[in-house]
Amino acid sequence: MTSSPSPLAALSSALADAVTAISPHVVEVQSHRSLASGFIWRDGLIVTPDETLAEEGGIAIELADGTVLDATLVGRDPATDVALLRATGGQMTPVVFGSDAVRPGGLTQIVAAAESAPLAAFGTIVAVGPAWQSMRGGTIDTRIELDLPLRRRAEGGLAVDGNGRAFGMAVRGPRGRTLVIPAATIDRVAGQIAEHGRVPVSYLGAGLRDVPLDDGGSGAMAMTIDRDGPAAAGGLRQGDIILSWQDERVAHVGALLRRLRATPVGTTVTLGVRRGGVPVELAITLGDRPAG
Amino acid sequence: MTTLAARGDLVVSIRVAEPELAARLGDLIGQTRGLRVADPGEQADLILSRPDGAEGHFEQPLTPRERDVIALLAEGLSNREIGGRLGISPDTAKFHVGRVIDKLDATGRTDAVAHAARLGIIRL
Repeated sequence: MTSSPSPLAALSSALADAVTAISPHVVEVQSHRSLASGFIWRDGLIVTPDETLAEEGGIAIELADGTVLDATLVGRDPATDVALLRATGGQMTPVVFGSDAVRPGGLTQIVAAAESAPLAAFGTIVAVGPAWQSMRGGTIDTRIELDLPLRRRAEGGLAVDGNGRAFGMAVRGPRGRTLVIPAATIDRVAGQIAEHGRVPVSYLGAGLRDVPLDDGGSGAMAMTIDRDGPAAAGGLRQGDIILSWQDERVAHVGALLRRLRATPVGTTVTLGVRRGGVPVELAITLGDRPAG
Repeated sequence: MTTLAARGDLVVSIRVAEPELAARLGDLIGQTRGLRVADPGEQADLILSRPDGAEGHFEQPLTPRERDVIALLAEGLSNREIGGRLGISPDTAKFHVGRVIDKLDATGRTDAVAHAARLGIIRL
């Protein structure tokens, strides 16, 4: 009696083959006291998590063929946890994103790098949800959570679906959860960084806090006004209470911020304001937040 | 409900940042028949916290430095920018940011802005 090959052996081989196929796109990212992973996004451009990249000092990358290259920081966006590096000289094959299999319950692999060797992890897609805003107000296009533990060095690795196609970058979220920054977010943010060196941030130029209203409800009161900012130019004054944004009621600073972050720099918005009990409408053209 | 009744006293955990208020609540619960305060590490039947969630939400309250950090975090500043504003190194800022995010995230998806706006001014 001849034994047929185990289905587990076949699955195991398929998983290992998927890692081998993706690993040429993955690099190790070496920065001051930090080792993490990243991947080749475009020729000469590497994406890695902002969180794992040191705040200062030199950066190098190690390719899957063992080539070590100096890298320079193009820009970083802590709001979406995306940093973009530039390195030249090596053989770099950009990853091609594209997956239609990102569903809860689906299997996934993370392919990261430790020096030039692949570092793999395997698990389940726990949850797939709508777009969400990070603590710093960055928009992440899809919420993808995995059930696998991700070691720090594997942060920045590619998340791959059951067909071996990459769908995002694996990072560690709060409390050690493993999240995926989806391809759409990476392409958008890395594209802005490649073009401008940073991600423009819509700016109002006012210091706000939540206040309860005399007649019930709440609003966002302008406690301070940046003298050279867009709000001052549009006529917002200290003590004004913002109640609406483009005719939509905003009851607190959080609601205002969500709309602000979703509106591009240069857009003129109408704010409904209560000034000394009297309703006032103001047109304010959003600026780009000054550095620092 | 039957299991609660069978166990006797309802066990209450107090999650309030202010020590005086927590002590007062503890005294009142101690005087009330059928209620008692949870021992350290004991599973509580009920949690007592502030309705607005500003502080009661946190298993551990924010330190003064973390209160500074949360507003800057809500404004979307980088660790380097937060460090610059507070006169600390970017790495130290990063450490505080991590602590704040873990505390905020204790209830799942949370909003730094909502918490920060109750504590002070956010510059947008």
